[in-house]
Amino acid sequence: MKDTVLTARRKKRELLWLAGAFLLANAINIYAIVSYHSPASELLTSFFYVLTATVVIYLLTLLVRGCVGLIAGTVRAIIRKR
Amino acid sequence: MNDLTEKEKIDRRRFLKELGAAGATGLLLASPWLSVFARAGETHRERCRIGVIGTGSRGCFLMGFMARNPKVELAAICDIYQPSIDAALGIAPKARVYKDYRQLLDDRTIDAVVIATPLDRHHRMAVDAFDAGKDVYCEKTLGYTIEECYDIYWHYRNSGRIFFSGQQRLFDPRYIKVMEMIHSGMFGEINAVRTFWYRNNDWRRKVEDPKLERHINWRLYREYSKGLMTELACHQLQVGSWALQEIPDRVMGHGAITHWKDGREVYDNVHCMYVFGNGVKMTFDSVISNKFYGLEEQILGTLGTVEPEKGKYYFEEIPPAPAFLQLVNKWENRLFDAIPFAGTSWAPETANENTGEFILGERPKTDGTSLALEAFAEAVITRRQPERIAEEGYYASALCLLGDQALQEERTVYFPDEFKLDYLNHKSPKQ
Repeated sequence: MKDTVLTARRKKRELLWLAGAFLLANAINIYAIVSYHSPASELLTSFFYVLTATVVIYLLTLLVRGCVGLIAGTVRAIIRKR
Repeated sequence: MNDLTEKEKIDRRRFLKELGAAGATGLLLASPWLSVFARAGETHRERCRIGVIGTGSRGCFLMGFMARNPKVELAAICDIYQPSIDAALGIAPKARVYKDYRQLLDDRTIDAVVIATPLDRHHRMAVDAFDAGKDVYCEKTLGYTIEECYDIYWHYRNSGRIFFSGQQRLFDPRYIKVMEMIHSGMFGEINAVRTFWYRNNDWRRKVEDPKLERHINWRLYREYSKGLMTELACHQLQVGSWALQEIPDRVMGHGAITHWKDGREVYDNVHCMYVFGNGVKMTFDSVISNKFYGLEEQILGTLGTVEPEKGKYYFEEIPPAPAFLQLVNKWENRLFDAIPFAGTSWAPETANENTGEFILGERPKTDGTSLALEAFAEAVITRRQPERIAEEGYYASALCLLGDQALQEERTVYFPDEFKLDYLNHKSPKQ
């Protein structure tokens, strides 16, 4: 099995994506609280749901980015062959 | 004389802790008979001598609790059936054995008697016990007829003795606590009480000698018992009137033998509806050919429902889910509603998916029998009859006997004025 090297740039990029997912999850929670006239305390009491949503959103972005990367790589390889 | 055992101290402490408000006014308003424990700390060096009349399964069950109470000496037993005597002597080996209850009543060293015989004998024994100057704990139903119950009640009143009936739910912490909650209005206006008791067995005991069939299986023959109404309904009807603080004024219903056609004379399938003055209804139904729903008293208020047998209550309006979950749920519904499925065009009113809360914060552990007997011993020692306990017992018995009358005569039976006590919504013509 080959060693996998995670560069500092890659780590920073993934942390930025994770932070983005966390902000988006919080934004959804705030939108929900306003829409359903729920108490502001749910900003704290729903924290577990926000964290779960952060992980889900991050994994979704990872999936989408992976698919995009795969398609782009395949297209690039086809162009290079020609 | 024994001091309080560690177990007893712990039991009482737990009882008070479970109720969460020792001596609280609300608690005593809903269940005033609890005042019987007020002097329990002062009587721990005293003891009462109790005789048990009828040592069958119920009698031995009660003896098991009394044998563990250091304030009780099980001094005598009385029965005519040797296996029952042997079983009782296994619990109280030093008890004197009588075959005639009148001889037990003549024993001047006995302070009180517990009557756990077949129903048809309660009246004679209880009346004789009061006449002999004994305190009485009589199993429910108190008498075979409402006249007998009334006569027992007035013998108690005229004798000045202590009188308890076997309504153990009056001492069950979960009932006491939930009645306080009901009376404080927490569940809104109570407009219906549904009670039921379902079993799936023939209710028979094994009989070695066929000559003893009617004596051992006395619950199945009308000469001795009125079946489901006197053996089961008594507990549940009392819960209904405790919750509503009112006595119903009429009853109607129907009874039949639909499954156990084995020579029994009492119904195995009954349904009664009791109606209160304001139209509120309380039902009791029982079948002994299906046990899926077990037993319960469902007290239905405008703000919530109580199921004390399960030890739970449920509010009508449950707090909404967090906004985040509501939003996710909405998106999920939008996504799946877009996919067409065949379905009804209307939503039926199905039962609420509501898991409720435990009345005492946990699953019920006892049914109050132990505390009811402890309370009886306290009352015998302190010579103080707790408020309302005799009246609750009388009315529980009267209601199930009126229910049986309604089933037998297939008509609406009104509570007869001549058997009313000066209690709750009733006024006695005698008092």
